[in-house]
Amino acid sequence: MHRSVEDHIEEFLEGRLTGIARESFEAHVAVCRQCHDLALQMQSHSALLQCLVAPAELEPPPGFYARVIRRVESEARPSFWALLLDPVFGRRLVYASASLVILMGVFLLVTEPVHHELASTPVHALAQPSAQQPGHEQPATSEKVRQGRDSLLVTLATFGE
Amino acid sequence: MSGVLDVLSFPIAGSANRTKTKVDHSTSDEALLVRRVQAGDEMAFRDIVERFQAKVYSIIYGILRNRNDAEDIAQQVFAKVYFSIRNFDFRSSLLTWIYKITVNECYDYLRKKKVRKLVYESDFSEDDAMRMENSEGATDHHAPVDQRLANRDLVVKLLAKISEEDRSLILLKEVEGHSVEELAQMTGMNENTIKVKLFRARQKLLKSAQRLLRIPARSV
Ligand SMILES: [Zn+2]
Repeated sequence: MHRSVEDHIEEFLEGRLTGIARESFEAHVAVCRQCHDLALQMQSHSALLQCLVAPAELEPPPGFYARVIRRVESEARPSFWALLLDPVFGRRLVYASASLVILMGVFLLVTEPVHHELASTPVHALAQPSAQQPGHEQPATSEKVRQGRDSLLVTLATFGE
Repeated sequence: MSGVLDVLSFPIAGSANRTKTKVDHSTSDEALLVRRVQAGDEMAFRDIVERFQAKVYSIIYGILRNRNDAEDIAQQVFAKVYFSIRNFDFRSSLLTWIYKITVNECYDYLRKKKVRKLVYESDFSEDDAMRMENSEGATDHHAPVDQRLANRDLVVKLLAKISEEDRSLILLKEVEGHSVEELAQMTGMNENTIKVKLFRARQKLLKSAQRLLRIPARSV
């Protein structure tokens, strides 16, 4: 479409094209097939779009505001899965899981020698019966286990903050 | 090229009573209402719902012609308004902003439902047809109902092919009847920008129509 027509197409479609602008528009579309056809097509689309005009201004059924508030409240309560999809919470969950895995690893490493020692040979196990009795753990190992548990609890508590 | 002007009919000139004053949307009554909602005032939100519910409901019904869908989508529109009003930046009028949300929700709904033959699913009754006959909004009062339903189906499909912004602008212009000057005030853009955007949106609609109806393409 040529500039002289493009500049005035909205006024033309609105029915507000008057005076010199209208004369120049008419003169151009009289000799330019392309602009003529395009203006014609845009005019027919403009008419076609009128079918989306509502038959009249309609009101929703009574109690609409209450239903909107119910919708707002239901959407304000996030589901468990929506929480997992939240990027901030998801990232924290990954860090927490990674920390937990590392701590469990450390915990197992710390406790490993005790089990290894106990299970090394049946003779060893039979030679140290008191070590397997509940409440009769070796003091050093028990201390390490307690420290491991404490650090695990501290990490979990600080994550919650 | 004699006689071409006989085909290209000039619409009747409308009212020339238009203002070009730029509106500051951050100081209006509406802006105060929005700020109250942003501050958590539920009564102000209720005011917004009550002020715009008929408009929103009518826009949706105009597009979908189904009352149940209109109710459901209207609720969704206001829920969206509630949750995103803190992002409202006062560059456009509140109505323009709500209008965009409404049209987007309609098209989201259509996408989700993958509505192919919208007209057959609508509750467009004889009653509606009669009301359309009597309403000023109807284009061709003498066109058969089937033809009008097919036209609506085509228009809805064509509008689905253009961007959200273009769609809202074209609908505000053609369906809501706002002038370029009014659109400039409502959106905070200048009139030339509005004209260019409208022209491009119209071109896209024509191209989509050519593709959809398999009309041989002409330079648009
Ligand atoms: Zn031309």
